[in-house]
Amino acid sequence: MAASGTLSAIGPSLTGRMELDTDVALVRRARNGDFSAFETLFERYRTLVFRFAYQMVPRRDDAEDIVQEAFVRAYQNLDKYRDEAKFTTWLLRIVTNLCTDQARMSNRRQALEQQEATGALVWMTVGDWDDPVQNLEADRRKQALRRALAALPIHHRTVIILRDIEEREYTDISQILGCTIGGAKLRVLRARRALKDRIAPLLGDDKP
Amino acid sequence: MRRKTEDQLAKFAFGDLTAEEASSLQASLQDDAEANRTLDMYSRMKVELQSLCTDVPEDQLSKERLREAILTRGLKEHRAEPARPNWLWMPAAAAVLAFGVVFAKGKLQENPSTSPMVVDNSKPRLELPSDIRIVRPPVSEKVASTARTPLIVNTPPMTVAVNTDRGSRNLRSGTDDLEDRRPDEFSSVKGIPRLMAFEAPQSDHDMALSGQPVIFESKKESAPSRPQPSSLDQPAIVVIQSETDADTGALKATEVRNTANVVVGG
Repeated sequence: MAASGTLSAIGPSLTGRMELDTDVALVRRARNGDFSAFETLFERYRTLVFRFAYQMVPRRDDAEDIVQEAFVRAYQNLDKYRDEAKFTTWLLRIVTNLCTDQARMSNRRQALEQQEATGALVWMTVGDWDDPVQNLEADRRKQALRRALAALPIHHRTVIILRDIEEREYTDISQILGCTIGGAKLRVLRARRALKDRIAPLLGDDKP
Repeated sequence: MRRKTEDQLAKFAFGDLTAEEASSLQASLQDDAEANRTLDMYSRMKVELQSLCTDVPEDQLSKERLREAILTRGLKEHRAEPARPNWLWMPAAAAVLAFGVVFAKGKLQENPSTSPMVVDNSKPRLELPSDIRIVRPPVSEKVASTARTPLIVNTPPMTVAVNTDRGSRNLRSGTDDLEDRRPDEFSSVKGIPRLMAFEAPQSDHDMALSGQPVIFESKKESAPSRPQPSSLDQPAIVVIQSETDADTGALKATEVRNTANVVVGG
């Protein structure tokens, strides 16, 4: 009762404004030529999209280029956006495709794999052999994990980031990847297995 | 360790199992050291991955930069679109063209007056020298409507045996040895060449033209002075020999005034 009273006290103007600020409403306004509506969407989701892009390509300049390109493509293809899907899901799908294209074109992954292999060897030789994990600093462990993540195939890296870092639901992941929910779960399992095999030496799998 | 067991452990570490599944799995892990080690590995991997979530620098994106990129890209996209060929019209154009060809072909086959002359390429062809021209005799009124129709030559060649050595003679009233022989036997007679002649089929159209053969006339011999067959009663036949003229290289031809001394056989 109190809540409804509060809502009635707010008045229709504010509730109307809230309806206008939903993602669907903003997309519709942007389609009709209201660029400020699209800028609102940009400000609302730029951090989320940049964080995902940075996890995919752990270099800030590349991540910014990908985010900008994703929003440009989203604006050009607003007519293709279906209202029943979440705007963030659609946006992350564009980013995923851009990162996949970039990974295919560049041979950076091979260089990172070599670096990761060399780095792992260095870390395993530095410090006390009896307890190598304790000798690793937190930031160096993060760097090692990032390199291991970057060395994964693009399809494994994507699902690891979406599920285990960004904590997206499997329904969102399936829509982003264009597969079933069961298929998304299977991809996540395989990616986790592949990443575990890579970072097991760093996490002390060879402990007795 | 079995892969299925390892997947269950990974799901348990990352919180993808239901409460019941998690409790039953935990109960089965009490005496399995390897499984516990694997579970511990996945749990630490989860913690490390989640620590990456906070390890993200600030972006330097801006609305102005986005607006500029959209305006620039938007213009390029519009300019690029007209240059793209629209391939949608090609199947329709191909269908219209095919229909037109089929329709025209059908029209041509329906109206023989517009049909081109049909030449049977399997038959031996006569290559005329350049100084020979084809003169068609006048036709009767019966075939006036088809006067423009070229002669259809698609009959099997007939062998005409003429004793060129002895000149024109009435073979029907010839000697017994000639009468008893079939036309194809004449070619085996020494001195008598095997000849080829073409005659139009005996259709209604062609019946009117029977006796109106094609005359091959030499330009050197002045055409006006040369008598032309003007009626159906006295057709002229040009017998084409298989021998070639040494000077011109063309097949030799002999004009016969009447058919009395010509025997035609198959």
